[in-house]
Formats: sequence, structure tokens, C-alpha cells
Amino acid sequence: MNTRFSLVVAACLAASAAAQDLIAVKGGKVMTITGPTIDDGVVLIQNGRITKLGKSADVEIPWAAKVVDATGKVVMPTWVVAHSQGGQRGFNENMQNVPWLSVADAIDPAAVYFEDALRNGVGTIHVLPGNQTLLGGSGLVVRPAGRTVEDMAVSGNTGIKMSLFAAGGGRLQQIRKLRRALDDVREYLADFDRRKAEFEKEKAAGAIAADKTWTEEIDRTKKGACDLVQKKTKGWLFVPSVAEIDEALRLDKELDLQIVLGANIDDAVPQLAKFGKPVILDDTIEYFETDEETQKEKKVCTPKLLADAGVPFALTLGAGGPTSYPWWQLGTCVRNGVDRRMALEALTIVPARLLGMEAQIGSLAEGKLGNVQVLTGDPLQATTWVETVLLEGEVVYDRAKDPRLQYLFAEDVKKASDKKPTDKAPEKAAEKPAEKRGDAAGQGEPKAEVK
Amino acid sequence: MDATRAARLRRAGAAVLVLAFAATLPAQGPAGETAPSRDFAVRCGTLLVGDGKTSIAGAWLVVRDGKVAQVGTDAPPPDLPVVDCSQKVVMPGIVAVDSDFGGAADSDYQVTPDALAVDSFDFDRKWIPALQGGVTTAYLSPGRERLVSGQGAVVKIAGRDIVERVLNENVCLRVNFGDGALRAPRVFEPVPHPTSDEPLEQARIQTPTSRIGLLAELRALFAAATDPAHKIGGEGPAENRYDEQPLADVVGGKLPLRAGAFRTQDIRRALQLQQELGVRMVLENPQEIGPVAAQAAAQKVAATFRVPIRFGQPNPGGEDRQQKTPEPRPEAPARAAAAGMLVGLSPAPGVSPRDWLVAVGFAVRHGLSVERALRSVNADAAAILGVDARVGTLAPGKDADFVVLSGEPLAIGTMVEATWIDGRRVYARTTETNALAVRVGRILDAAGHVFRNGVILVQDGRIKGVGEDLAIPYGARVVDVPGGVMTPGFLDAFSHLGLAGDGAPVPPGQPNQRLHDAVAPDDPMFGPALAEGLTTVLVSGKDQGAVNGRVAAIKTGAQDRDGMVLSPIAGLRLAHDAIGPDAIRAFADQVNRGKQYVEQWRKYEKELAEWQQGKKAPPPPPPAPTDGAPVEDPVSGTWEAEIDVQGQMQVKVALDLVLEGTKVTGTIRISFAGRDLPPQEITSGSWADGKLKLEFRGMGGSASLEATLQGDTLTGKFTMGRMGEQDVTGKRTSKAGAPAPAAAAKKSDKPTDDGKPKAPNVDENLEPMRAAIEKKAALVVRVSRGAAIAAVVELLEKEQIPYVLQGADDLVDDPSFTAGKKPPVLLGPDVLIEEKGLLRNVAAIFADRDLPILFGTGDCAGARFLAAHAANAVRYGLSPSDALLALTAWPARAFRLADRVGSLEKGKDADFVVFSGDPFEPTSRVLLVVCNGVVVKDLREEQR
Repeated sequence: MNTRFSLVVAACLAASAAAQDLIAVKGGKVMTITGPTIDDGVVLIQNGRITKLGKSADVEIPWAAKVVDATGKVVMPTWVVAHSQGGQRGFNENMQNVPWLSVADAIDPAAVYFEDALRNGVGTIHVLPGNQTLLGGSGLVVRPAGRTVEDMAVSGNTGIKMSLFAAGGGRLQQIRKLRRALDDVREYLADFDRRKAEFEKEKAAGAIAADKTWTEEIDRTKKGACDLVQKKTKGWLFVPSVAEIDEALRLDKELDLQIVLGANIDDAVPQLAKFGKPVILDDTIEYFETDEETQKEKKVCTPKLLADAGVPFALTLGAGGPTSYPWWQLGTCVRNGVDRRMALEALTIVPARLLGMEAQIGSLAEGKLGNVQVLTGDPLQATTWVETVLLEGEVVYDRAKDPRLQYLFAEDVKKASDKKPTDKAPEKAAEKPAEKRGDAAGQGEPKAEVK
Repeated sequence: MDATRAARLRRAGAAVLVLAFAATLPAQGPAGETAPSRDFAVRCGTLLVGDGKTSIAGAWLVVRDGKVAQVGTDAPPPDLPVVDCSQKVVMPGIVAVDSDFGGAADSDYQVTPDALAVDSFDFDRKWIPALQGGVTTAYLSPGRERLVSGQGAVVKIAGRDIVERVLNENVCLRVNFGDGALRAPRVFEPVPHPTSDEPLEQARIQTPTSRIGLLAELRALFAAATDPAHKIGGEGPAENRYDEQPLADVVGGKLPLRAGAFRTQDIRRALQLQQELGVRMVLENPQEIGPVAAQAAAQKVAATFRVPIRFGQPNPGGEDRQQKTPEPRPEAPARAAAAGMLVGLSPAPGVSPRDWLVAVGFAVRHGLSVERALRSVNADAAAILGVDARVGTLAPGKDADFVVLSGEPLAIGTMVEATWIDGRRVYARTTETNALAVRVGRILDAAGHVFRNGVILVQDGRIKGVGEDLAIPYGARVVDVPGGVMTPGFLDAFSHLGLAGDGAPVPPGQPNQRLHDAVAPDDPMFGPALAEGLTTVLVSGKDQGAVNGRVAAIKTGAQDRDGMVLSPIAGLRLAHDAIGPDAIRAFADQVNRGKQYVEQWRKYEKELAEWQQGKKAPPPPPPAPTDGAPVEDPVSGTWEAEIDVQGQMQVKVALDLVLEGTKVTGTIRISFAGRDLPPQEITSGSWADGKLKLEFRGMGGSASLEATLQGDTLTGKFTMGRMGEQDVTGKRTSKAGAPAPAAAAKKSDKPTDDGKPKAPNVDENLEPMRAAIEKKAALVVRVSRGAAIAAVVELLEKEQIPYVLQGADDLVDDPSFTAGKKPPVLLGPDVLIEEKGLLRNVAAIFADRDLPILFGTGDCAGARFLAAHAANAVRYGLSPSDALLALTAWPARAFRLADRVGSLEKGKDADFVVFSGDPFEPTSRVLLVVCNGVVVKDLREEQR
């Protein structure tokens, strides 16, 4: 086991220890995702886990509990993003066969990406290497809160990123290289096993001293790929277009694969139906394309096509622009006819399952982690704000204390900026932020633009 | 690493791959969809078997379960569904012996024998251009530039099951003897963790870099691959090394070589390697094969060529006089074939696969036989790729891949109508252009030519070209009528067709009738007339004494009103038969009135032109057209007004008014969009201070008209129903016995305030005469007596007004009445005069005197028998060529329609008829009628 992952586990424990306090989110409309929605509900979190969930009449809030008042608001699990390259510096390694690399070395905890994620109610992000490296290294599940990667890490060793993106030499060379790289690892493993068996044989025959043991370990640079071909770890395979789907389905028979799709994959839907597992969508889920035969332009919404074909899917969020907002992604799905529930699940419980963490995250249920967000309204509304985010029972985001929003909404600043911006402006704004935001909410300002 | 173990593992891995492939992919067809029956028979006009020489006319191709079951002239079992291609040519699907469909880019690495071209093929693309070109099977290249690029594949262009679509994914190993093999880039392979033992190296040069080392390098590669201890070749990171098995397979004779070699010296090296290894080899694009073709043939080496003609595109190259860049040799395929090599052809890179057969045709231009050219895309192409057991020819047991062509495979305009793969139609041409080509045995163009094996090309309703054996452009709909005789569509010079109302007889003729509004394009009587070849009628109302009648030129086969009206005023029917001194005066007066009217318009147009140039102040008013008489009733009479409703609808209003003191009574008639509303009483009307106020019941309740009357003109507002308030202008057309003062009329013609000259009032009564004077129409003068004929001819020749004589009885015996002039004479239907047992043919008599004769029926439904009347005249001595002109060019010229109809020449309307034989033989049938470029009657299948 890598030292890094020990650290990660330790960090997780430390995080839970910090959340010893009881915390109760009360009074809101609780959308549990997998269970029924509870109006005027209470979510009680102790030691980082949800211990009680129910109507406020039925759940007694202990006197020691810190109360987050969500009256008139919506309480729901934080979003889960199953595939992301965000928050990294240099996620596409130029060397093509680097399964020993880890995103832990590339994640920048100070990246604005994580700050935005939290502001959007994202609680869990699976960060993976980029889409352009043949065998790209392993990913890390993080929460977008913490000062170090260790603080942020939730779960390591999530699998190896692979890509069919045709870098040099086109698709056939990429496929050839991937086969060659995997065959190379298989050959290495076979050779390793043969030598180990020979050692044991010679030891049994007395040719080697009985006190000697086999000390050689699997080559560090090959370990990840070895796990991959032995199906000990998942392969997160990027499939850029419909033409590579067949190769992906072929690889799925020999590896434990998770397909990560490129944008333009509408023609691949019939084949994806044979994959039998949920697929991870690109953040571009709605686009226009021209029919080769009729030359007519048509709108394509991939979630809708997949939903119609009965293929489960997980949504992802972009690193900027409209697709970085959960409400936009879900709204796009619903606008194109995807069932609302299916859309909500595609950013909560479905990606949680893909990460093997459905017992921890992705919905609100007793025993799950206290990853809860409080929203000012319906999660599909453009005018809804994330008010509070709790990760493992700890308040990690409070809109009232969000310095960036404070700066943007400070009217003093707006007035001052007409003359001359001063350094003191954000502080001034911070003095009475609550009422200003309250005013803004009351007047229904176009907040979406600011977001 | 232990090579044997590695090899075993690799094979195990390969087995996994194969199993996985087999397990996942056969289910590629849409689940749950029941495959339609692939048992059917194709009725072929001509069937090309694929060997380049065997063609079977009237053949049947029987397909069972996607395979060819039977080929020949034997009829299929009656229960099979039939695909009718009886007018088409059917050939085997084209086997693309080389293509760029794989889309494989070249790797940085020189040697990648385990790269499979099939991996880069996009099975989900629709490959429309390829199917449009008839390509059904294609070779996919793994790349062309590197020393050993990988293995080529052969796939079907379309189909449901991806596994079935792959005919062979290891069809050959591609090696390169050309310049590209020497130009491989350096490769940089940094080690992940450099140490002093394993330092970072510079980018590695890949051998060879000169021609001298190229063959040696290949020899070494093949030698290394046959060493059993050596299984993985190459240097650098694992993913950039390669499996040597394909190289060993080549040496073992399991995998043929495909060698890229352009220049003679490269081809020599390739042949050298072939000799050393003793393997099957195909040369790819050996343009400079000439000097070594015989040697290659002796070594049983085949060749594929890209026909190096990029038609319709720039063909760069040849800028250096030393010819360091090799020049393509269009004659190379012919030379290779002549030397006895097997030759496969495909178009040059960049040429659309849609033009596959045309590209191959250009090889014929440069010396290849047609037989070899056809084989080069069918049987020979399949043989070169080693897939001849399944495709390339149409024979029992082969795949039912075939192409339906509109004509000869290598003709420039031949189109692929449909492409079938494995018994499924994967492409059918739907992009119908409005181009039409009709091929007949003879074209009589009525302009003095006869075209045998004639072709007429039509585009957008006009004739694009007429001639013998013209090439047919791509995209044109081709109609073949072998042995047919084509003439221009006939004109009935005197007809009532289309003027009869529902249950009402043809109305009497009037000069002011807007006949083109009265005729409907879908008149039920047009159909039978069209079926007899009558495409244009010169219609007029019935003659009624000496009353004049307007003539309009109407097409019988038009799709809409715009297409129907050839000329709204083609003529004016007049009668003149008075003789005696100055008897022509009345006739001349009519002409003079017309001339005055024309003069007004000319003046107006001149002033308008000047005004538009801003040169001149408002002009003086034009003279009043009427003589004028002193009466003062300013209201009574008939007024006609037009309302333009936002440019979308023209409403016509006619008022019959009577003024009694200040009270106005009468009726109003409204018509629009071809509908006449019933006349309405005016409920209240008043006249005061030059203002007219009328109220009446209109559409949707009450309506009103308020107008100012100035002399004979009316301007004001008209309000009715949903139309709302609209501007109305009109004029008085009759004064009900109370002519208005001339002064008022003069005043009315004053220019408006902005100085723009005002147009004279349109006088529908005089419009036909104006058209004739302006030489846009003809006067049809019914005249029989000699002196009257002479007077009319003299007057109209002097005035230079186009005219036609109708009847002209006295002219039969005495030609001197025309004083040497040659006016057209309208005859028919009866042209025979029986005198004292002697039959005289008036038509022949006039025609022989070089008078253009025109045939008219004077009928409504009977107009359809126009050609029979002409045939009758032919029977009694009229020259058939004159008879044809009398039905076509002569009436068109006489009525000033010759720029549109009457002959088959470029730019004229595509109106023509195809007969099964001579148009005047009673046994000849009309097979095809085209009007305005549209096939309106196709009677080829009927009455047979």
C-alpha cells in the first residue's frame, strides 16, 4: 500500500473526529433522492453520519445539537461528480504509458474549481487524469474542502484512467498501443509468477536456503496496470466518439471498465445498451449536429437518448460556463424530456454507485455520511442558491460568509467602482452582508448571471 | 523476458480478444428487429456479371438470404418479390481496391506490423458518397508512409452486423518502398525516472534514412521475425514496440505483402523482396511500372492504381523541370494490363467516391480496355484483395452486392440509382434534380434539323441542349424511349379549349376579356389534349358577327397559373370582308385608335423615364383619347376600380351608377381571387361637392366607398369587412349615354404633386391592338374575298403589324391578292375543297406557295384531334415537314411566341412530344409528353 493512501485514510479519520458535535438541519423540505421527500423534516448528524431522518414532529433534536435552520428551504444530499479533471495543474501527461502516476500529485487544493464546486453544492468529486493519455494513472475521490490534498481525500486507489483518444497516428495506432501496453503487463506478470514459482520450487528442492523468502515486489511503475489486467482495480476508459465504442466493449470483456464518454456519442446509444453498466456523460449533453444523409441540423440530447434506450447514466459538470452548474445540467435533461427523478439521481446516487460509495453518499439515509446541502429553493431553478453545505456533518460552506459573493453583491463596491475601487471595499461589504443578500433575494435579482 | 512464455501469453491474450469479439459483436444488429426477407428477384435491363465482358440483356438476378441464387434469363419462381430495374443496368458492387475510408494516420514509428486498419474504420458512419458511387466493399489502408505500417483490411461499406461486415481484417501487410519510408520522424522516448544508468536520450533516428538501407532493413526485420526466440520487436516504451508475428506470417506465406512503390527503382526493390521471400505481393500505385511491368507480370505481382486524374480539381505538380517529384502516369494501368498484370483501379486521393466509375473511365481514355477497366473494380479488384470468393462478380453463392445504374457504367452522366449490400438496399438516390434527359430515336426540332439517337436535356423547364448522343449530366432523370420520334409540343392556332365553363358554353369573344384569368390550369379537358401532344392553345371566345375577340396563348400541361399563361394577349381576332372603295376605312380606324393609344403609352413611358432620371419638370398632360362632347353628368355610368390589398390580393370593383340629383343608386360587383361576389344594391349613395359616398352590403356586413371623382377617374377609400380601409382608384369605362366633358378628362391626366407622370388608363378594349402594334401579338383577320384580302395585306404590311389571315378563300385560286407578301394563313380543320370531283388541298396549295400555314381546330374538346387534321392534310398532299411546321414553328412565329415555343432549341420551353413512329401516321402513338420541363404524360406502359 502506498504511503499516500495511508495518509488519506488518516486524514479521513481526523476529519470525522473533528465532527464529533451533534448537528441538526431542521425545518426544510428534505429530498432524500432514494426515499420519499419529507416536508418540514429534520436531519440529525452525529459523528459525521446521519443518525436520524424524519418529520420534525417525530425527531427530537437533542439540546446540545447545533441547529441549522432550513425552514422554507430545500435539504438534499450534496452532488456527486463521478469524473472530473478539475482542480489539477497539468492533467494530460505527454508520456503515454504512466499508470503509476496519481492525481494526488496534480491536485491544487487552492484551485477556484473546488471553491466553485462547493458553492454549487458539490460534495464529492472523483478527480482523474486527463483524457489524452493512453494509460494515465490513478484517480482520487475528494471533497472540495480542505487545505491539503490529504484533507480533501475521501478515497484513493479508485482505478486507472485509460483513453482511446487518438493522439498521434490515429485511432488504429491508439488501439494498437493500448493492446500492446496491456499485453506487455500481462507478459510481465506471467514472467513474475514464473520466477516466483521457480524460486519456491528451488527452495523446496533445497537449492535455496530455507530462511530466504521471495522479496521481489511488482514493479512500482507497473503496479497500477497489473491491478488493471487482474481486474483488481477499475479502468476508467475515455471513449471520445462513437467509432471507439466497439473497442471499448471489447476491452470491457477483459477488464473491469467504466466508460467515460466524449460529447458526440448519440449514434453509440444502441451499442451502449449492451454495456450493462451506467455510463458517464461528458458535460456537454445537448448539441446540434448535421445529418449526413439529409443535411438537416438536429438537436441532440444524449441523456434523453440514453434514458429512452434504458441506459443508466451519470451526469458530470464542466469546469466553467453553464455546464458547471448542476441546475443547468439537470434542467437541460428535464427540458429535453428526461424524468426529473432520473436526472436528480444522475448527479447523486448513480455516480455514488459508480464510485462504490453508495453506502456513504448520494442520498440522505440513516447511516450515510452527513453530506447535506441546504438550498434556497428547488435544485432545478436558476434562481436557487446553495445556502449551506455540510460535509460529514461539518459546515464547510455558508453563503453568508462566502467572500466572493460578498464582494460581488456589495452595493458599496458598485458605487465605489464608479469612482475608484479601493482595497477596503470588500471589508465594508462584509459588515452588513445578510440584509443586502436578503434584499437581493426579495427582489429576485438575476443571480444566475452573477453565479 | 522469456520469449516463449510471452508468446504463449500473447496468444492467450489474443484468444481472449477473439472470444470477446465474438461474444459481444454478433448482437450488433438492432435487438428485437426482425430482419426483412432477403429473398427477391431483380429484373435487370442489362446485367453485367463483373468479368468485364459478359452482359445479359433482360436478365433476372435471384437473391436468397442475401446471397446470389441464380443469374440468367430464366424467369424466377413467381412467388418471389420483384425489384424492377428493367430500364437499368445492374452490375456487381464496386470493390474499392484502394481507398481512404480507413482514415488511418501514419504513426511516428517506422514499424508497426500489428496495427490493424480495421480499428480505424468508422463502422457507424453512413458513407453516403461511397454508396452514391456504388462502392460496396473497400480495402482499408493502415497508413502509407512508414516502412511497415500495419495490416490492411477489407470491409463492407454498409450492413448491420459489424462482424459480418469484416471480410478480412488481415488481408495484407503494408510495406513502403517510397520516399515516405525514408522520412520517418525522430522519436523522443524519455525514460520516466532517468538515472546515470538510464539517462535521458536524444530523439532517436529510425532507420533507414536512405534508399540504400531500405531493402536491407526490411530483410533484417523479416529475418528477425522468423527467429523463434524473438517475438517482440522495436525499442522504447512497451506501447511503442510491436508484435513480430505478422512479419513471420508474411515469411510463412500466410499474409501477402502490399508494397507502396511509385518509381521504377522502388518497384524493382519491391520485386526483389518478392523474389527473395517468395510471397504474394500487390504493388500499390506503381505509377512508373512501365519498364518493369513484364517482370512484375512474370512474378505474378498484381497492381492497384489510383487513376491520377483529379477531375474538377487542381492537379498540382510538375513545377520542377528535373522532375524530382514523380509525375503520375495516366497510361500506367494500361501498360500494366498489357504486360499481363492483374490491375485494380480506384480514383486519385481527393476525388469523391461518388465519381468512382468516372475515374475508372479516364483510365480507358489513357489506353485501358473497357473490359479491363470494368474488371478492375469488380472481379480483378476482388481477386487482388483475395475476397473473390464472396464479392466482385454476380454468380450463385456470392454475396448479393450490386449496383443499379441509370446507364452505361463508364458514361459521364451515369448515376447510381441504388446500391445493395448482402441483399439489402443501403442506398437509393433521392436527390432528384429538376434536370431531365430524354433519349429517342429521332428528334425533329422544327428548326430544320433531324437528330438521330437524339438526346434533349432539360433544366428548370427550359431546353438546355438538343443533339445526337449527347452526354447526360449527373443527376438528370433519364427517360429512354428507344425508337421514339420527338417533335415540339403542338400549337392549336385557333381553339376554345379551356374556355368552357361548368355546364356553360364557350362565351362569345370580346377584345377586353382577360382570358388568361378565365382559364384554369387544371381544366379537365386539358388531359386528353395533352395525351395527343397538344401543349399550347391559342384560345379565343366564339366569333360573333364582326365583334373582335382577344386571343390568349395557354399551355395545357402547366402545373400552375404562372406556367399556364404563355402570353395573356397573343392576338386579336378581327373580321373584314367589305369590299369597295374605302371599305378598309372601318378596319383602318380600329388600327388608328390602337395607334393613338400606343402613342399615349409611349409618351408616358418616355416621360416616366425622364422623370426617373430627374431631368425634367412635370410634363404637360397627354391629349385626351376621346373626342369629347358637352354633357355634365359626372357620376352616371360604369366605373371600374382596382384595390391592391397590401400587394397580396387584387380586388376588382365595378360600379353601375345612376345619378338623380344628389342621390346615387345602382349596383356594385366585387371580384377577387378569381371569385365573383353576387352584385349588391347600393343601399345609400350620395353625390355632393365632387365627393361620392356609397354604402352597400359587402362581405361580412356593411361596406362603404368614399371617393372623389375627377372626370373619369375615381380616387378614394374603400372599406369592407376584414380588409379594412383600402385605397381605391378607378375609372369610368362607360358613361351610359352621357359622355363626360373632355375638359374634365384632360384635367384628370395631370401629373400628381410629386411630378411623377401618371400612367394612362388601361383600356382593355385597346390592349390587344396595342400588343399587336408593339409586335407582341398578331391580328387574326377573317377574310375571304380577294379585294378584302388585298386591302388588309396592304394596310397591315404598311403599318408593319403582325397578322394572320384566316380563311382567305379567294387566295386559293389567285395568289396575287397578297401582292408577293407571304402572310401566314390559318386553316382547318377542313382543308379539302371538292370541286367537280377534284380534291384540292388548301393547306398544300398555300404551303407550296411558301405561305406559312397554321392549323386550328376551332374546337373545345375537339382540339385534341389537331394532329389528326394535319395528318389528313398530309394524306392529301401536304408535305409532312410542312405539316409539322404548321403545328409548331409557324404558329409560334405568327403569334410572336417563337422565343418560347414552337421548336426544340436551347433556351426555349421544354415542351415536346414523343411518338412511337412518324407523328402523322395513324398507327403512331404518343408515348411521352413534356410540358414546361415536366413529364405530364408517360404513356409508354399503357395500351401495349
